[in-house]
Amino acid sequence: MKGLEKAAEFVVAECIKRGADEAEAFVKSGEQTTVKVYQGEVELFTKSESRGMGVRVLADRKTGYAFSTVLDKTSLDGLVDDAIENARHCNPDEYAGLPEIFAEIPGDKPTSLLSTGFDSVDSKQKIDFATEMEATALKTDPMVIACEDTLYTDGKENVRLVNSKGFSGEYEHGAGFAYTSVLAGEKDDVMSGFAVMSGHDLTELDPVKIAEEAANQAVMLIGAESIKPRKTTVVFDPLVFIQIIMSISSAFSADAVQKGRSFLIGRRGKKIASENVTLIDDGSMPGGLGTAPFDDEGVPTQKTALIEEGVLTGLLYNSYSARKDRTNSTGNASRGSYKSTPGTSPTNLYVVPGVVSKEQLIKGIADGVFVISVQGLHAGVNAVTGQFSVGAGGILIEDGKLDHPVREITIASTLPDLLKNVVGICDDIRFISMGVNIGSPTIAIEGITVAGR
Amino acid sequence: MISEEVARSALKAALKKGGEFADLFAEERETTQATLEDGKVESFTSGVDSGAGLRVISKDSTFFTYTEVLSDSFITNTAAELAEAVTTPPGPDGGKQVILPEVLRSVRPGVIHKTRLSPSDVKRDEKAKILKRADEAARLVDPSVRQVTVSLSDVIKRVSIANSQGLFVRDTHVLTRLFVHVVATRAGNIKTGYEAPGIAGGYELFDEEEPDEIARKAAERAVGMLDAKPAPTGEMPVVLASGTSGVLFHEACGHGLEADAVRKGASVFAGKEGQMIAAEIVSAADDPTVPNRWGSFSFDDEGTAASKNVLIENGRMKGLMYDRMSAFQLHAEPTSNGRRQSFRFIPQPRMTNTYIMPGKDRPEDMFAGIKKGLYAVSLGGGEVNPATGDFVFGVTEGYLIENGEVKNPVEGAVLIGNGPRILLDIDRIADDLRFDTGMCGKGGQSVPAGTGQPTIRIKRLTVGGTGV
Repeated sequence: MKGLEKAAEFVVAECIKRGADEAEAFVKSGEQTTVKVYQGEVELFTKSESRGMGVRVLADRKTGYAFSTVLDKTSLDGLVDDAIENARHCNPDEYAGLPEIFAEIPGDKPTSLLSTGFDSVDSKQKIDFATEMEATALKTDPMVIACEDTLYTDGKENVRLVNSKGFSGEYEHGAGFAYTSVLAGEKDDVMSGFAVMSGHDLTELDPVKIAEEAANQAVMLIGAESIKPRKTTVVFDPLVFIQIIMSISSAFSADAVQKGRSFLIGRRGKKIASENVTLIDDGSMPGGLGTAPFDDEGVPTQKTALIEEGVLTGLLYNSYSARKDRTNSTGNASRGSYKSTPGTSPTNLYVVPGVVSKEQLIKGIADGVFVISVQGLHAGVNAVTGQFSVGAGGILIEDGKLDHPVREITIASTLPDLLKNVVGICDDIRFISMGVNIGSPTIAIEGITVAGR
Repeated sequence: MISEEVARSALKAALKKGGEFADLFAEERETTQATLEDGKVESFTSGVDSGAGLRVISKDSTFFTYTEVLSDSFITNTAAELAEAVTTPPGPDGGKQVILPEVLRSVRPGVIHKTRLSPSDVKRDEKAKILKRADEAARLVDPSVRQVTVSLSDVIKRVSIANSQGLFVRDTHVLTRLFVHVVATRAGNIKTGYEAPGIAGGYELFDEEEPDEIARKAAERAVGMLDAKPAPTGEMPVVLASGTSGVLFHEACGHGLEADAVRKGASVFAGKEGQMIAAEIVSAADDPTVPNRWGSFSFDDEGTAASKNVLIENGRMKGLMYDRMSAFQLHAEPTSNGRRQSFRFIPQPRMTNTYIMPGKDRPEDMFAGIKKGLYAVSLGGGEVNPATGDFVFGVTEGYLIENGEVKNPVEGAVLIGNGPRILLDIDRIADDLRFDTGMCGKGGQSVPAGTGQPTIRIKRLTVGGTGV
């Protein structure tokens, strides 16, 4: 990684030399392996390495960006010129600039968040893992027809940030995830089930558990029918609620609130959710897949309560939005890739679990729907307007018991109502990391419009 | 760019340890993106993304890698490393030696989508002006317009594609798109609207429609929805306006006609070739040759020359969309549907511009006889389960139809149904085919996809809203 470090330092120094007031180089490099199996054979095996650099410059409070995957001297020269030229064409912004406070970097070795097992896992073990996942799903139930997609992937990444304010930091982290999607049923009644698990590497993943969960889900839905419209209590499976949290998380970014792009505008300090709801983002959480020593601007990560016992107590800040609100960055600056400009993103975001078990919770519900899959989240959930209506599949709850499977139903409400009407939070929190690490237990919400035919 | 000789030696190296097919996809992608928010040009980003993807196919297995260093030696080395990963299963036809042709033959395009005003000939000042014009036009629509985000992006992509069957293709592809997102607020009520036109071409995009006009439309959509009432719930006739609602056909039927889904039995259309799968008035095609449309190109990302592919003819299922892998597996010919997000991804069978062909009805005649129904003018993205054909779509702009007339806007409407069933339930098709743009996601990859549709009427469809 020495070459990349030199390149980053060179770019920052050149930017200043050519007239920039501040400059920052963000370098990401990494490697990734992906295995897909189908019918016992390797369907896809990919192994790749990648790296690239993104530059941010400030000149007269104007910000310019440029990126490149070509990192030779000529290209880096061009990169610097482009970034400065790009800045000239932006409007000045009094809040623009690099952060003031940076993470302390101990020693000159990169912080490693890699699990020890990472490098000891070879390609064959990864192939075996995926093969076992598929084989297990196929024999879980006689109704299982096939696994449509069975995938294992892992990778590690090295992040280096250098800026003209003297910050220079580097860390390595890694993550793996595996999923399978299963088809079960017969003729015109084929249902699909999906399960996914993420961890620091293969040793934290369980192929049997993933396979059985996906297979059971598909089998459970066989014979599902639509139902008549009603207003009822919906119990969300953790995997489903994780996806819902993902699609509303942008509303908690201070930038979105400042720019009127959040349904939470003007709600800070107010009660926005039922008292049992506490939502935390914690970039410093030990062992979290979204954990890092500093964010993508070099600011230390931290624990931030977004909702505390129903009250909106915090928002996620990067240095830009923090300056606007005269507060400190919460260490949530995120660049996604060296190609993107720094935005705001959660790190490890989770709903604090309750004490009841899922079984106890369902036992107490006279009439409701246990939702195990949702569709159309990106169209049906609008974090700006607060609109919420998505398609779903699951099991009817009648007199505290799981009854008949249902499909082709929509569940609709508004995001403020969803948060206010949470009536039960279970003890079974799960985390899934696909970009952002999100955790949720099983959650029950009343007063949701469920529509079918 | 990569020479023919380097490509040939890389393919040779990749096939050294086995495999029946290899290909190389080298790409240099120059992009610029400019974003305006809060009335300010907030960021200008430009960059170069380049590299090469190498693939070896051995029976039903694909081995893939990529490099971001486009030097000749690096490509050949990467190919040699890939060869080491190829674990050709032992068997009678395993490990068969592929004879590479002596020379790769250059293929000329059948159709060229000309760029009249290249992004590289448009100065940054001009791009900033486009952003500002859009912002101002949107804000003038109504005082309730609270936030306007405008983003302008362009791509110039140069590719070289070579394969072990002797093909060698060079191509330049240009994409330009404007995205305008508007937030309107009145008395605590927030609504959004957006427009995102784009073409396979350059800044002549704005000859078709000026930035001001695009922005006005987005703003009017957001402002109009402020008066929306809760959407009705239940089963009713639905009229889908021309243009954006083509995304429904794309999602609910198009994905099921992609050959990989059919091969795995993960499509409701598997085994139905030649059968009636739609009402007789329905014909549909996928066509990358439509001049300069968002999903158009001269070659797909496997070097197959663009051609029109009829999917449904008078209700009968006619063809599928293939990439090379699915064509090998199903003993068919590739249909110029092999597409990839970039050199970092493997090709998949993907739609290009997918559309329902125009019918004979007039758009204004579609509402006659509907007592209570929904007129969906704009659909947000949606999702479909290809195995069952079940789909869900959010309606971003919709109106109540009452006694044959279009009435008030409605909010929170979701269309939920089943792809094969709505194909059979289409009872009127108008003559007003229009195309729209989108980004289609599949298997973790996103590619530009055009969707097209005339105004159509569906006899019955379930609408989910909050108004019980």
